[in-house]
Amino acid sequence: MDAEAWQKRFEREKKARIQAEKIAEEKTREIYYRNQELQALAQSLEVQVKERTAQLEANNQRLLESRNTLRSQQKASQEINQRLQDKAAELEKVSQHKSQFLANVSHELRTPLNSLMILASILADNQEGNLSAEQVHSVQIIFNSANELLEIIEDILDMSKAEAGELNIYQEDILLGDIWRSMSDQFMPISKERGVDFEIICAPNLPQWIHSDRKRLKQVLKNLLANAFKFTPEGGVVRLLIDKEAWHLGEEYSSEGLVFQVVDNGVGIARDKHETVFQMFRQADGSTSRKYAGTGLGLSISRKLARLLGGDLTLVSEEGSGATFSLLLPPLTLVTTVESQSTDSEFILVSDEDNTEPFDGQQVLLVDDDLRNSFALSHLLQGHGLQVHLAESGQQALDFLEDHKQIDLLILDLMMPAMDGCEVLKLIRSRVEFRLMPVLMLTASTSREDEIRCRAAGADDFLHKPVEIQVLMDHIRNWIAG
Amino acid sequence: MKGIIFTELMEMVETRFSVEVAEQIISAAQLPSGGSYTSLGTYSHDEVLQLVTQLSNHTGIHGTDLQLAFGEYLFGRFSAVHPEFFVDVSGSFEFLAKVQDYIHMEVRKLYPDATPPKLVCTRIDERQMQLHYQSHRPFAVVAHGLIIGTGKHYSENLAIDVQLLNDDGTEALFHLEQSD
Repeated sequence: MDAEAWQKRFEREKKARIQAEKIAEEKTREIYYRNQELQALAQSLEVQVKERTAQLEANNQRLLESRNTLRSQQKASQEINQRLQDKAAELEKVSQHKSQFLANVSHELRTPLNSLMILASILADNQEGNLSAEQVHSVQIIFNSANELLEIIEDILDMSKAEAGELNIYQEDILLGDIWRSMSDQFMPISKERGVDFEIICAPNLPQWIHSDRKRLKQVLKNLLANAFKFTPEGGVVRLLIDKEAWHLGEEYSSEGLVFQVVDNGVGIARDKHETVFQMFRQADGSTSRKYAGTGLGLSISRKLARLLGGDLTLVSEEGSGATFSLLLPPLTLVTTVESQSTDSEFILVSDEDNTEPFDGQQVLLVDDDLRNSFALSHLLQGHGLQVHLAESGQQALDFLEDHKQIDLLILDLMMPAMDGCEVLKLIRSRVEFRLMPVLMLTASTSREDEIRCRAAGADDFLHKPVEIQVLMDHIRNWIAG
Repeated sequence: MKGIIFTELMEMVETRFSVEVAEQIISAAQLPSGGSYTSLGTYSHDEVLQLVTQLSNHTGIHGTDLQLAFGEYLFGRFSAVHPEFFVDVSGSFEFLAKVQDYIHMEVRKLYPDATPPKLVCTRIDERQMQLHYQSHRPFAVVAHGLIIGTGKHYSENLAIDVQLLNDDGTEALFHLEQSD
């Protein structure tokens, strides 16, 4: 190979070397920069890790704080809960005390009213004929006033119970006839007295039995009718219509329910007063309160009762053109149990007039710790030909029965000191010879539980004070043949 | 193509033939790079073909035979420079099966711009294997030489049947069979 070729080869190798050096240099730099980038990245990662760690620590701290806050909130709410529970228990106790107080007040008011009404009634009869017409009228006013007082007491008691949610309903199968006949008996005399025409119209397809609360249903109808008579002037008309009507909840109609409508053509109620009349202590306006008496409780209680019966009480009226109150009862009112479909009614027909034969010296033991009541009742019973023995306490009654086993009827007060009527009755019923003796409980208590307790102890009959003379005598006649 | 292929080719020419032959074929090939190769650089694979053509013209040996010889030579250099790839590899089939997923993978890591061929090995049975070669370079024959080198490296009696799948030599199917 010649020098020129070697020279060429040398040049080429040199070029290759320079090229290789250049590439190596570039790679070295690249590695250096990469290294720097990596270092920077590592540092920034370190910073990031520190930042993240700090963030996590801060988060952790916040979580701890939140947890502590939640714990203290939880504790606080537990304390509040406890206080609320304590308060609720306290309120319940207060409510119980209030209920007990009202029951006591009711009892204490009924007891004197019982003797007042019986004695006034006896006086008004004027059997000895020694009272002037004016005196008889005065005594009748006394009786009527006492009766009104009684109704006011009932209303106030009911309202208070309703407010406390203690107004109870006892639905049973009852004869529809009993209801309207009772209304007829009560309001026909008023109709005659006020010169207001009174009609009861029953639709032809009504069932014989219905399922409702006898006492409450009568109470509502009595309130509505009393109102109608109060606001209907002489020559007007009051009607009680009983019919079936499609029951509806909102827009949806279902099967038929029962409706009682009390229609009058009296003063009516302005449309904007329709809701007011259902409020407590309210009448259509202040001035009516002057012209027409009343506590303003009746309609409010009636609507509450209607709703407790599963129904409602509605009003249709225009001022000056009468009013129609409708007591709507749900379809279940028409569903009765098969057993009750017998005609055996507990309803004792109260006769219109006292045209029955007097008793013939039958022996009645009257047990009552209230001497005024004993006086009034014995006066009444003796007037009807009964021989009355008095006992002031249960023990006295038991002692008396030891020596006088031939007693025809025992009339027993429930609330007595030392031994109450129920205990006395249990002791009496434990003796074979007294198992069949008729016992009539007569009490100022209005509690349904008391009646159930007495009937369980062996009471044959149960009446509330103050008792209407006619009702009492009819019940007594039921147990002693005249 | 990586510069090492070029420097190895020139090394082979200088040892098997002579420095004069190497100079003559470089001069005759009129290469864009001028033939000043370094293993660190990257050059067009056309220059390999030009050099082989010139070598064939100069020596009178067929180009295909030269490529085969170059492949075999290249394998020898490869095993000398990278003994780590042969650790725990007991035979040619096992080694060839590693090329695609191991060796070419390592090449790509070191040289992200490298484009090695695709080699898919399918084992037929204990003694037979099929190897599918696919590249954008027409080096199926060089690949053949490399496979021969592999067989020799493991002292195996390896029968190689080549089926070129196109005319430019970028795709081929090799059927390999070992015998005692």
